[in-house]
Amino acid sequence: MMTTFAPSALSGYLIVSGLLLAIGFIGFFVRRNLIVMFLCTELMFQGAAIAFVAVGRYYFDYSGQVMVIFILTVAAAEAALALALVVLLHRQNNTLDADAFGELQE
Amino acid sequence: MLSLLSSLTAMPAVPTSEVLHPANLSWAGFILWMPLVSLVLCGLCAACKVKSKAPATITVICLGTSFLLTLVLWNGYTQPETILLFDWLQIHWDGGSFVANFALYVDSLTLLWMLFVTGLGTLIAVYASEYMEHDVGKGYTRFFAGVSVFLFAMTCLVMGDNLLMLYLGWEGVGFASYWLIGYFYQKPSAVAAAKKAFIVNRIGDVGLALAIYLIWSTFGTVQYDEITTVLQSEAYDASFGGWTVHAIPYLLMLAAFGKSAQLPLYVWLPDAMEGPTPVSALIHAATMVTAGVYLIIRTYPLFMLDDYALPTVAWVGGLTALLAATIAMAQYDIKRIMAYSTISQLGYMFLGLGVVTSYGAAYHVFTHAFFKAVLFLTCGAIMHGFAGQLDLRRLSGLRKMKGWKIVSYTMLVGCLCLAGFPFTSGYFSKDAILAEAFVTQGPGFEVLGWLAIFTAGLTAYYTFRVWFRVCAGPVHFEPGDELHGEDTSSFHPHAPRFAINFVLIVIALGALLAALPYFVPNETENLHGGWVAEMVHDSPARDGVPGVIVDGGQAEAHGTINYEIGHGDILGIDPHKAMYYISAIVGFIGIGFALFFHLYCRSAADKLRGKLLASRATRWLPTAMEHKWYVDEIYIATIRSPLWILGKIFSLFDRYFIDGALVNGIAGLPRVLARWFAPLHNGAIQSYAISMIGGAVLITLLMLFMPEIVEFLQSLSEQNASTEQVVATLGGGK
Amino acid sequence: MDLFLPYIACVTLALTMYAALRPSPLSMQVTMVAIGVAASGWLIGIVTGSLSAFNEVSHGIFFIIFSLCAVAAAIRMVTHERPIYCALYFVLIVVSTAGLLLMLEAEFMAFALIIVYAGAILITYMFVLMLANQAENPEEPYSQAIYDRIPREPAAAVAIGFLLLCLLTGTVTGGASSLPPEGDGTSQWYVLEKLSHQFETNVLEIAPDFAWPPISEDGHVIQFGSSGPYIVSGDGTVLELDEAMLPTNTQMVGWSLVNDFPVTIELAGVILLMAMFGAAVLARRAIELTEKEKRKVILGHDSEEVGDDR
Repeated sequence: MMTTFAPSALSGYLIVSGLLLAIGFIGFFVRRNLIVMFLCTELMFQGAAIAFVAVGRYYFDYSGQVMVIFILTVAAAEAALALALVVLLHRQNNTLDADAFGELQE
Repeated sequence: MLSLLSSLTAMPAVPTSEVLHPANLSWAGFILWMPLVSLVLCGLCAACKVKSKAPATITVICLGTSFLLTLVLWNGYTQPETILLFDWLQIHWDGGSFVANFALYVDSLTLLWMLFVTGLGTLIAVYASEYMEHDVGKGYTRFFAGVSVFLFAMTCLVMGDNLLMLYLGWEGVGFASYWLIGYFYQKPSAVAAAKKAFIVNRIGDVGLALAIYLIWSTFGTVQYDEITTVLQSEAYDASFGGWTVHAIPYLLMLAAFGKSAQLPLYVWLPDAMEGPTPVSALIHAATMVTAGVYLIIRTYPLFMLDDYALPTVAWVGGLTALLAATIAMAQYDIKRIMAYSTISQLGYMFLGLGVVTSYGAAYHVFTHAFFKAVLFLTCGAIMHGFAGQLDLRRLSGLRKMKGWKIVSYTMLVGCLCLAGFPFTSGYFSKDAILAEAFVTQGPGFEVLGWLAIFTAGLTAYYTFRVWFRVCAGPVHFEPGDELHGEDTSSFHPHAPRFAINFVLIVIALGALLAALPYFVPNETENLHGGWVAEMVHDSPARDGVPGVIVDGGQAEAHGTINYEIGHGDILGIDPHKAMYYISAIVGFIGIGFALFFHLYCRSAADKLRGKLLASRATRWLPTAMEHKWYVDEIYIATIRSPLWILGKIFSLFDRYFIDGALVNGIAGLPRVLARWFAPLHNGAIQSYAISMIGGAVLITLLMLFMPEIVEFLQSLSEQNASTEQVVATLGGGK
Repeated sequence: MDLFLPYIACVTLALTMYAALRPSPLSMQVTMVAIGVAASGWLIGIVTGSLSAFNEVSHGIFFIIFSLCAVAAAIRMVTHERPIYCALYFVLIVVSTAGLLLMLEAEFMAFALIIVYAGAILITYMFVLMLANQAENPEEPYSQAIYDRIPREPAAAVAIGFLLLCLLTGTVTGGASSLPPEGDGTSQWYVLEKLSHQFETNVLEIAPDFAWPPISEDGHVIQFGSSGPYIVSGDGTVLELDEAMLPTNTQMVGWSLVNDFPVTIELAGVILLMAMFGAAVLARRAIELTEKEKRKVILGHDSEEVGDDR
């Protein structure tokens, strides 16, 4: 379909993307459970995906959607490895608390 | 070097004066360089750890060469010469210059001084080669290096042609004195004495440095001949220079008092007896302490510029002489007695300078060098032989002991000269000074003259007290502190051998023969006083030579001289003639007292002392005299203690305020700052993430809104500018 | 005043988030979520102006529904104290996002998102959550661990999040006028040209007697006129093309992927390979637990010394 966008519609999509980004951001900082932290990063990915696709659709450029495919790929890879590491950490300290792994300090 | 060789080869058998003058005298520089060569070679010996008497040989040869060259120079002398060795300081700028070259100024005064400095230096080096033999391999080389340094510096002082070379020599002799007094550096008393000598000398050196600066700024030069030229020029009048010409003599005087151990600054000389005896003989009797006298004689015209400069010198000298004589009367250590005697005789020399007889002072310097050297050297021989025993209560009858006769009789010669026995050298030189005190009219000079006569009596008493106690009477001796574990009862005194005896005899002969120059007829008309007067006449100090007519015109040409010269008398008789008899009588009285108390009836001395101590009215006299009038204690209380307390206060200030508050405080700032920021490193990943993202967001906001921010700031500054304009217009329109 | 309206909405959202993050009873949390959703709806409304910007009313409604659903699920996910519920809310977010993508005519992406995220990644998260999430106190098996109940520094996080949101809002509202001109849909038709067999089939379906191939001008067969795209055949016939002929989103994405980003595909494959290797290596490490440690793990406390055998 050769339907075109209005700029304000694009703004709407971008605001939604920004909202998801900001909320995921807040969640990443606030939650202490490691797994929920990673879920919030995935939330940020969602926001980014919406932004990519919206702007790509605005310019009828499909690179946006291609970017989303790659985001998906990377998110999957990262999730796999992150969860493997979380499992190992849990085995070591028997907790999922992010504050229990605070050795990276002065 | 080539010129020296050519002049040597060209020297025929005829009197050398025709060859050397007007040829260049640059070979005279070797008088200065030979002690330096000796120093370098002694340094090499020290580096090679030589264990023989080689350093002594080197030093004697080099100093002997200096003496021979001096003799040659004296032989060919006709008029004052300047010998340029090399350009030293040549600083020129628009409107001024400071020129001080390494040059030798040879006039007869220089030669007079150099003769006895190099001569006695050589002889005492020979004496020391045997005296210091206990220390071969341990400090022998260091001693002779010190002696070489000393002679180099003294030569520099005496032969320099400008005040800067004199200052160089001044400091050099001060350093050499410190080095040699502290020769026995393992003894804390020696180290303390060396420091005391150096520090007290330093007080005088301040005066000298300031004086040299003032001279340069007033006269534009520091060279002696140019200063004389300025003084004699037509443009000179009484208002020349303002306050500086009145300050210069006092500063020079301060320097001379420090170096020559006069009243406020004499305290270092008795303690300097901690050094080895040859050092005491050479430096603290014959040569270094005369540097002050030399300074004043060299700058004599400058002392005429202020009315009260020379009287001050005279009074200080006279009081020093009296004080030192009273202290010497109550000491028991014979070297200390000789030290106080040196101070007293130096007081005489300054008295002579003050009453405007530079001839008398110079002659006394000359004779004193010989007889004081011989006295010190005999004390040294006694110390050497009796393992360090110097207490006159524990030695007696030395002249009857085998091998000690030479020592005893040379000591007798020295004592006779010191006491002013008729027809010895000391008699004539002291008379010149005492007589002039009555001849010259000045503030209180008559009183000073009688005080000096009284002091002469005291001098005779304490000198013969020493001789009668030590060398006469029944034979008795005890070994001293340096016995090193031998049994006291089996101690045998160690009689002096060839080197010491030879030197003692030579110097004693010199002391006796030093009377002869008095009788040499004068070539210059109207001059009397013999050879010494001739030597002094050819120098800037000629005003102090008897017979020189100083009339009103010449006096005005030289500045203000407010006291008449040459018109006083004593008890109605001409002072010079009267003094022959007065000083002889006073000397005999003194010797008579010494004979009674210390030879015929020795117990009478102890009884007298006991009676004085018992009575409350007179108790203070012997105790004060024995304790040197408590001068050292007064200095400690008034000068050293306040400085000590001030030093402690400053150290506390430094520790708590500067170190504590400033340095550590500033050093602590990074620590405090770090503590503020340390919680950022808490190991929680999320807090790191907050910092990162927060920073990134803020930066992005800043970049996005940068144009608006810049506009806002500009509008603010425009507002400020407009406010200033408003205020300015308001203020201007008032 | 109009300038600050979006920021006021942001502030409201931030405050509600902060309130929702504090440990509070369920009703309070639900209220806060509702207010938050309302605030975000307000923000979106301010920014988009009117729904007529969207193509049709239905699209506008769907946009509102999907976006508010996403935001509500996001807020609830962030503030919920039980991690399993967080994961489930995340699934809802993924579905809402897929809906938004559908509205953007990116159906391939929408379903790919659902398949990969909700179908694969979230399942993995669920597995790990069930493995690792344990009750703190055996007496109360439904209570959550302390680190789930109490958040860390909500104030700082909300502040930074608020700043971020303001930044984005400001960019979007301020920059909407400075966007480059929107594109036209010509690039889609040019892809159709390249798919010659499909193109031909579609054209011949509509107009069986079209003389294939059409004439190309400037290298392109499809021309654009006032009424849309058309092709000109060799004998002068002009055929107007229908929008139904356009390649599907999947075809477009595939075309763009292979044509423009071949290397990136390879790299993505490598990344996945590495992830697989990494996961295998990480999970391989077997930890030998002593009896004592095993008991400690199972029972949750240290065991007695008696009976300790190695």
